[in-house]
Amino acid sequence: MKLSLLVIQLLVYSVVAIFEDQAGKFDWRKTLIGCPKSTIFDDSGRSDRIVVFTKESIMGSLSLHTGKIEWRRILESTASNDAAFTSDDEYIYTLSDGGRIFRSWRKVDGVLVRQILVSEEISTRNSIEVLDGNIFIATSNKLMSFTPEADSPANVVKFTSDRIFSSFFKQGNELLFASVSKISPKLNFVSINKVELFADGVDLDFVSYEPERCHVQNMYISCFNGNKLSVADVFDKNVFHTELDHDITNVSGSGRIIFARGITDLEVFEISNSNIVALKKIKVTPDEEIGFVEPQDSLFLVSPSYVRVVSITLDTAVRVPRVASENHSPLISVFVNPVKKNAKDYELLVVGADCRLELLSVDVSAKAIVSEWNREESLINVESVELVDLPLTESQQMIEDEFEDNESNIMSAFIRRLQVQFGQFCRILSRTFENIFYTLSTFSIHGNGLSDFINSIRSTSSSSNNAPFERDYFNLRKVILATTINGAVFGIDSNDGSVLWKIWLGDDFAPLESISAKQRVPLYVQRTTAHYQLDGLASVVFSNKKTKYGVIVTFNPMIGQVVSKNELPYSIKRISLLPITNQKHVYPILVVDEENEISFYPSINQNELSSCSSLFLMDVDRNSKTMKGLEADLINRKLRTVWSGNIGLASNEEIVAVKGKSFQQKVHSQGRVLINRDVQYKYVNPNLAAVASLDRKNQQLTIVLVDIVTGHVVHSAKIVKAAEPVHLVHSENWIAYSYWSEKGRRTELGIIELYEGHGEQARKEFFDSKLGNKHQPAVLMQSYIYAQGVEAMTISETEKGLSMRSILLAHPSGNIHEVSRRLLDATRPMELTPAMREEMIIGYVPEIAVSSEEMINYNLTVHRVRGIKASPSGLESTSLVLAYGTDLFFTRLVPSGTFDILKDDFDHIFISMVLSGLVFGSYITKRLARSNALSAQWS
Amino acid sequence: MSKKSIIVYFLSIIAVAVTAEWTIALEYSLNDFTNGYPLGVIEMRRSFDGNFTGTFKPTQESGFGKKLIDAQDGTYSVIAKSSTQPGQQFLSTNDPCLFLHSNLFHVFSASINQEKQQLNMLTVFPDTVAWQKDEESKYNSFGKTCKERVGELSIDNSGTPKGSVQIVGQSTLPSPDTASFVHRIEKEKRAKQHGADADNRSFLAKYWIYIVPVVIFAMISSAVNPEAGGEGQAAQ
Repeated sequence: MKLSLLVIQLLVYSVVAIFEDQAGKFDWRKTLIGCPKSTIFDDSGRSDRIVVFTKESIMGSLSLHTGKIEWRRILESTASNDAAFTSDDEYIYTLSDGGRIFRSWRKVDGVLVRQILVSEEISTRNSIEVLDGNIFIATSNKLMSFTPEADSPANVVKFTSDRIFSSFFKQGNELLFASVSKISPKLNFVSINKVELFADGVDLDFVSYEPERCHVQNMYISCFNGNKLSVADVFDKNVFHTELDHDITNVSGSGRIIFARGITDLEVFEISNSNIVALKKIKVTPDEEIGFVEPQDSLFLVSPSYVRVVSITLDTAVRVPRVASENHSPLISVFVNPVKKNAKDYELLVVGADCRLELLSVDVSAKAIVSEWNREESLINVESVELVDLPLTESQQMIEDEFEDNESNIMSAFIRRLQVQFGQFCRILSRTFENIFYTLSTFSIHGNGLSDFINSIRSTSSSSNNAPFERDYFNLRKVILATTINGAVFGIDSNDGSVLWKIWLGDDFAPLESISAKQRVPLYVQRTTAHYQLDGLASVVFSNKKTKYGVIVTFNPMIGQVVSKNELPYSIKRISLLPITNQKHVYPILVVDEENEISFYPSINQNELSSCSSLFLMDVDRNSKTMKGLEADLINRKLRTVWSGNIGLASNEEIVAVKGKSFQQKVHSQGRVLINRDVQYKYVNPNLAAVASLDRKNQQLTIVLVDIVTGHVVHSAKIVKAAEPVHLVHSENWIAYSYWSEKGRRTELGIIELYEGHGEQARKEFFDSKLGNKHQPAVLMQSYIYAQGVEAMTISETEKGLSMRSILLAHPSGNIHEVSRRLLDATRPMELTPAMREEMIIGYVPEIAVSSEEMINYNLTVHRVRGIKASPSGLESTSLVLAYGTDLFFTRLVPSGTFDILKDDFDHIFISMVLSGLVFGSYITKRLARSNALSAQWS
Repeated sequence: MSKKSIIVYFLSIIAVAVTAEWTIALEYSLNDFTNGYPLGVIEMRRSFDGNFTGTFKPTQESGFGKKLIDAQDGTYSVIAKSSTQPGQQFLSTNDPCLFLHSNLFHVFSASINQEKQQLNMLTVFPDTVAWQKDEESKYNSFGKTCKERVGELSIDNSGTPKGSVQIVGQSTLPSPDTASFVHRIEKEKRAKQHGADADNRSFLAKYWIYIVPVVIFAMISSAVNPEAGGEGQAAQ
């Protein structure tokens, strides 16, 4: 009985699922495929498509007409992204997961046809080829052949040393495998007959193979060194050498044609009759990218502003201008598809350095280019995300204006008030007329009948997409700023996920590197749109590829206009946002250079700094495992070590996560009411950071809570038999973490809560780290079984911090699970007394259940989530959440339910219509009744 | 107490006394270790339950307070060197001013690893229990000079450093407590089977919520309709 009651109680508190008609109302998902490595233009089936293989080990089919994803398959991703693939007329064959899994897929709809576990060990160099249904797979150390029927290899050739290059070459029905081993630069061959593999005794002398200086095409391997070009014909076992009069920077080609590109010249060679012949020399500019496909004669030189079509045999050249985008990135590859219907028509898939895909349709005879569609695939590599409020509305600005001016007298204030209200009245009138006009027009177009009328009224009230670019009443619509590691910054409308603007950060862009060797492109919102006279400001920080010096680009987050670009004369060691503003309401960025000198962007003067004279930073030396507390003296612009020590880190331990608290975080309640009506005060130390370190050898996870100002270790705890992935979140007075437990072979979630020791609040007004604590804080810990893996973890954020927080966990399966803090709580009692039950306390159950109703993304799977960003909205109940990884997913979250807003299915239009109908009806019936009574008296 | 247990008891006492296990030497400076002076030693001793206690043994330096007064707007740095970790040192700094106000009483917060007998971190704080005239708890470290922080100093500070030691050991993160949960469920199941946990309150205590409304209803109806009773009697 008690158990069932408990279960019912659990259900009551945790079911927060959305209704079917709410799907897609507040949320959207953007599916992406990534940066293409190679493409197949396919016109089988009903519609034309491009099958794209990307650097992110994703295979997808895009509709050639619309650019929409028809199907997408996400393959296993390894560190080196070494998936290999090939195709024939009907199927696509892939070798993924480090050369361990072979799969074949139907080209038309991406259905999985066959899957074989090829090998147990991970290989870094993989290739695959298919001939007459037989499959040939090469990994770093062996070559295998498979018949269409059997799942075990028909023949295997083992290599004596690992391969650094391997490829299959096909000529008609002849198949050849060529490879280069680590130890010798010679090309080694294996000839193939049906499924038989014959190792050729002959090795071909060739230049030493380096992937970035070589190109492989149908029958040839071409490599360059300085101004020397060497081409190996694998079937004839021949090597051609030639010298150019300029240095080669890149080599490419298709069929029998080879292009050797220098800085200003492009030399075209053809292999014919066992000889290499120079066909032509073409002048090129650095921003042109070449696209060519055999057996066509036309070579495409695509630049952001035009396309040149040059014949490689004749002296004809056509230059077709295209609409140039201002903020463009250089192009990295062009894929050409000749349209079969018309020999002079081509389709070009152009890929930029920012992974922007654009399909151009080129009509050479008419000298016309049409841009069919484009996709911003760089969003697959989102690194930092911030959500920015939209600017104030005109009426909000008027109100602000009214209260801004304090010096005016009563009369002028009264006149101003009248003006403001007149302005508001005009706005309401104009909006109402607009709505009425819109309603009438839609009604006259669509329909007849009451239901159509009601629907059209509803659609007017919810047609927020047409609304001006300004803040809505509850501040639910925001601009999402996202930086990517490719060097693009995006402004995305949170309403529907459409890209508002994009900034290309320049060809010299390189991401910064964090201490854990991760690529970072930090983004800071320096001024929000709250100051309506001033535009918002945001900055992105990165480094210059050539000089390695830091660069700060400041822009307006609403329109994506670059305000300034600061090229720093030094490289960045440390970067942080200062918690105080200068006179222009801008939070400056604090930059620490290699010499430990401090500078601010934009500058801030001594007076403005007086409210905050120093800032404390923590520094980790990865090699010596020493932690250092640094005081940044903002006035003298120097760093000073205030504490140092190893906080218990052993030499084989590695720090996996460090989490401090945001200086903008709000803690609503100072304490927690206990069952005996006492208050337990939270230990809210704003300077506290949680450090998680992992000893991989001894499988030990340690979590240390350090005060950054003094280096005081508030708490330190460890657990054995723990392994990666480790995730950590830190908020208010608690830390939640997840790890893989080797002992239980499962993921576990832990929670650490800190309360003031001895039940009294030490310092009510302020917290001072340097005074220490009379009593050590009381630490409550608990842990739970979690039946799913965790890829990313975050905490919901609300305006005042009043709502119960939720922890969001992204699963490898593509779900995002919302766990309330009520469940992930360190104080859940093992034994429930009746008094506790009255207070609706949930008893301890060792598992946190994962039910499908709690998935905030319902059936919209979000793959490979790398991070989740939560941001408050204007409503206390609502938190806005963006999950980013292979897909982007945005939704509204209500951790404690929608307590401050009517349910979205509350039909106020229908209710008001019924009400007015009733009033009208009663008036009519009154009249009728009176006339009836009168006639009754007459009769 | 048997003879054997007495022997065991004494042996354990000897064991503890012998393993006066490890010391942490402290040095201080008021000018970033251009000049460093010994501050004292923390002696770490293991008690019966395996936990460590630390005792601060200061050096008898009478000029300590004077030095702090002279450098009251500077930085008071302390370096700790543990006898178990040669070559490693732990730096901690604080405001000298706060110590002047706490009568030179220190709190040394030492985070240690009990198993390896190693120091993880040592932080030095003023002992707020010894605060002078701090009724409104207005002392803080936010101001730029000593005066801004704690006001006028009106104390005789010719003493030697004094202090206590707070030890923070390393604890273990919990694992999901499945055993107790299963135990609890089983206990509840057993209790239900045996009926041992049956409600043994009296009939009235259990069902008063149902009885009271009935009684009230009966009272009200009889109060509203008093003659009904009379009629009934008349009919008899």
